[in-house]
Amino acid sequence: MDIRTPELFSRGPSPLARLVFYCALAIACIVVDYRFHRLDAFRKALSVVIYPFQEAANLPSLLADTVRQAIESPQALQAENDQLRQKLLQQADAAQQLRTAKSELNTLRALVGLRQEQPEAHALAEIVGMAHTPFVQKVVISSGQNGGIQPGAPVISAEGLVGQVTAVNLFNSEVTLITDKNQALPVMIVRNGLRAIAFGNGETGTFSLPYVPIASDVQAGDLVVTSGIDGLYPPGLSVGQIKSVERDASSAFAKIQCVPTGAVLNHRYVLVLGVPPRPPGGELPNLDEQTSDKGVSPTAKAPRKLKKP
Amino acid sequence: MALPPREPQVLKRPATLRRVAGSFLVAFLFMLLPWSGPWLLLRPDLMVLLLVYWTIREPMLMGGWVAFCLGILADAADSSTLGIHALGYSLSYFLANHFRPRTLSFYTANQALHVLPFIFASQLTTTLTSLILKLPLPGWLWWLQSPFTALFWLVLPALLERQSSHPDSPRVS
Repeated sequence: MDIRTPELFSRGPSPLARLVFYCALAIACIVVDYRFHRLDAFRKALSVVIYPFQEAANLPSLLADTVRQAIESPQALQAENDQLRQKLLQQADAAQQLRTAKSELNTLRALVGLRQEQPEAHALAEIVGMAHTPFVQKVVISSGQNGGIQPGAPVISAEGLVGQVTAVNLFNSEVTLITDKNQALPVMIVRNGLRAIAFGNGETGTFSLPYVPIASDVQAGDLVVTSGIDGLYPPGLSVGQIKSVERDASSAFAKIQCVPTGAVLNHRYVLVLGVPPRPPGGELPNLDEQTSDKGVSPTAKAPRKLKKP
Repeated sequence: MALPPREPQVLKRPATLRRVAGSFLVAFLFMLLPWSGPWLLLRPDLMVLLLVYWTIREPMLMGGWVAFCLGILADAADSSTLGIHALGYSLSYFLANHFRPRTLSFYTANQALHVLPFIFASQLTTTLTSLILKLPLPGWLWWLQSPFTALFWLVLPALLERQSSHPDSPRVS
């Protein structure tokens, strides 16, 4: 005779077992996403789901902007217009000189058999939001795969370099700012051509040059531009200005703090530059090993950020 | 031993799934607002607050998978590594579920103090995980986020609970 206790209370695994299961799943997600970057496709799909909510959440600030513009006096708008016209005229002269210089440079390159400079592709994008976490320095721009944005592309504002595209979704992209702690870029000091690597501090409005020897000729007020030796950032983009230099005899390196010129909080529009083609034989071996195994195109992955040694 | 005083309650109607989902939608939109600077550090995490609230009030509608999925959604919206919030939310859910009978035995104001550790557990987990991933520690204002979030507990019953339609309905003491 089969006697069974009726299942009045179906309990399943204990709450602690469930906690362990979900915590293990979350840790697995963190490892897979952070270390192996295998959840990018899932993240892209989620970003498509989140996109309409993000747009809805941006509506109040857009509305406030529209109202502010509507009540702004025509005189103020006229003054701003005049100021922009003046700026345009000033820059027109520099732009013409630059065109001539570029043409001469390409002629000289052709004479000595060097590679020609590639024409720069670029796309205008609007900053639609900041990252919603205080741990990273990122902004979201309004253009993604639909606008032809490529991962790794440098992003500039009217004043200088803002950051680098690190994730491209269908309708928007994430730009990691140069002030992010994990962001590094090769720079040069304009006054004497000294090369260095700039690292973000993880705070808004500051970055540092940590590995400049103590005896180097560096002064507060020096301008810092991209050196272009990584082949990704075009040379000469304004990055920032040195704010303070501290030399401590106990350290081999000077403590150099800088202020970025392309502060994003003051801007609404940015320019996304194109990613230069990789030179032949210049592929990153690890990236190729990872991508060729799974049949993923190397261009589908963002070039990984340099790590602090 | 005398039992702790229990808040006299009006008979409450159970929350519908639509109400629970709607509250999470509002919390999600609140999270997506363009916060920046110190406001970003102080921004109350309404997602975890609602998770704890509904786990205590409507445990049949919640589950570990809800906490996990909400965490993944928060991670994607935050542009952070997937799994960081999921870990914290799972822990908060477990604590809220475990201490549910105890928390319900207090007045609303005391409940706010009781749920503060549940909310802080999520924040601490998120912070520690971010530190392990070599992300920088935010400013000291960051640590005020959990108390600030717990304050919202005081207004949640008024916003979310549907009371019995008869004002003269019997009170449970």
